[in-house]
Amino acid sequence: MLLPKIMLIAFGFSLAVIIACGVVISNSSATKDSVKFSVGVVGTKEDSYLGMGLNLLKNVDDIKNMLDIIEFDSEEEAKQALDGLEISAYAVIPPEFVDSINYFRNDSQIRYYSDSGQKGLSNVIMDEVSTIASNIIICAEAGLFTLQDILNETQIDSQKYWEDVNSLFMEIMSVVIIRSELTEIEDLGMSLGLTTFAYYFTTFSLIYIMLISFAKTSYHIGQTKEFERMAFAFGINKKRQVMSEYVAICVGNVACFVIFELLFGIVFVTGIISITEFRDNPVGNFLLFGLGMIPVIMLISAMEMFLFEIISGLINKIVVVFMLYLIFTYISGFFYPKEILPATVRFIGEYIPTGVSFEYLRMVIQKKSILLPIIEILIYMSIFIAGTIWARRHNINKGGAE
Amino acid sequence: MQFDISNINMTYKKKKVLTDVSLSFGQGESIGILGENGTGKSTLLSILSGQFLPDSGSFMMDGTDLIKNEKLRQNVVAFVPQGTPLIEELTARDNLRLWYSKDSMLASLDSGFLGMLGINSFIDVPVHKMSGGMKKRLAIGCAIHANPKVLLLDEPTASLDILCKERIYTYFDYFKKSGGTILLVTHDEREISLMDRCFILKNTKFYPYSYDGNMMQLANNLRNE
Repeated sequence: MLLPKIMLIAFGFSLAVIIACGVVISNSSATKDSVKFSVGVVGTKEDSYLGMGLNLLKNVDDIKNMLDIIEFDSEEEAKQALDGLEISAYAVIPPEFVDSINYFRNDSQIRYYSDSGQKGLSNVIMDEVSTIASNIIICAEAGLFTLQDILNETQIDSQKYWEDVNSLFMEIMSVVIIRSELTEIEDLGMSLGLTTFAYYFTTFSLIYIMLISFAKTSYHIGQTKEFERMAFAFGINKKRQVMSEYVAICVGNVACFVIFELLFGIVFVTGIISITEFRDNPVGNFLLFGLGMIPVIMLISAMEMFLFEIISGLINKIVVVFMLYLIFTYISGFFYPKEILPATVRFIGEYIPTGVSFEYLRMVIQKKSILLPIIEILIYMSIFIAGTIWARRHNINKGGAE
Repeated sequence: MQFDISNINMTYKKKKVLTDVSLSFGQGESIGILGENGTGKSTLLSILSGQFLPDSGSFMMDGTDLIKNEKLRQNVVAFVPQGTPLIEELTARDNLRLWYSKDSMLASLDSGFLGMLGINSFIDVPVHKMSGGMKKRLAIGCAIHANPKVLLLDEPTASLDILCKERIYTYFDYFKKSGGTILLVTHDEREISLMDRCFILKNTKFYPYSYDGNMMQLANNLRNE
């Protein structure tokens, strides 16, 4: 009666967690598309080479992975976009800028405006843009303009060679802007040593197995002190009671995780989500992760049993356990990589059960030695089970002298 | 079969709760234990059912101390605590299956004590949807899974309606006739009148009491000095 209910909740909750996981991953700031900065450019249409240069920046150069260049017709439009947070900065290229290059003058500069929040980072990006523009594109362009001037001065019609000059420009560009072809860019989005997908897959698996304990709330609430006392009277002592309940909770949690793993497996097989670390043997590694979850499930089950045993009262059980889980998961870096947290909190986060579980799963995924984290898991598990036995003894004896 | 409770002494949290409590009874008897709240009635049942160890004393059955012989006690003594010793989310059937093998449960439902308790009529009802009477009958049904000789009950009919109480009393009668002994903590006048013998627990000691229907006299006798 209870198990089908738990399984049904597990199924619904698995779907919810997988959808949430998908949404988080697709919107993750660690994915390559969303770390791009949008920079506006005003005044590029007057000059074909400059336009072509920006086009190369947008589509060919490495910086395309970091920068979205958006062209505006007027500075006013760009300023509105900056105010509306659509862009992080904009550059205004004055009309005389190209002439100053053509005639080897240095009296016209590109003006660059950024919002205060992005100043540091966008300055770095703008430096990169300036380097590319001045060292590569502008130098090449200036060379070509010089060539045109020489042709004109020697009474040779430069228009006749325009096509050749253009193709020369493209040749130069294809030589100088080849950085993208030297390396293959892989979106790793490293978080706590894992790729973005692996990180969120791990943390969501852990969050799921912790929160699924609430599917068993009615069991935890419904089991009365009188039941424990009667069981004790019939020779089922506290240790046996706790251990048999622990096995039941563990098996229930494993069954719930199998549902989660199956549903996630479907998403995984369809390729909607792929995990770089699993790439060499996707199915095998996915199943290995599932097996690797068993010690974590054993730990979480022990923690669940302990918390529900020591906390009394229906509301307390739900609210306090939920709050504890929320704090544990937050400081262990389940929602955001824990690098954002202060050092002290980060230190605590690493050594509480959730942090230990994450570290263990990270080792499983990276196929490193799990000896230390598994010892930590076993220690925590023993503490929680011993604590539950102690609390059970206290609860049974609380009947007192009536 | 003879049962002898001898000189049970118990201190709980540095407070003397029971002093030299002694009682002898045979098969088929019913004994009521009366007393004010907090006088140690439930503690006595907890000792007899093996939840607490007394400071001293024995609970002998034909020369064997049931306090020391855990296995024998579990087969001979059944305890039904005051509240609901059931798992609320489970049905009557599932709760019974925690204690009974499938075959023994079906046999008892068919022609044994479980059938007598009328559990068949709500066998598939979850505990949280049961009435107080159903819960109490089911609790007794769970407790008697080992066919005990002594049934310890802590206020079994508290807050039940008259019909439920009568059904449980009918079962007590049936249990006694089949050779069982009932030790019952109660505050209920009707229950007291149904018992073969009654004892009052007062000032940590046990006193025999014969109820003659005078509640005022009973109340005066119950008061701790």
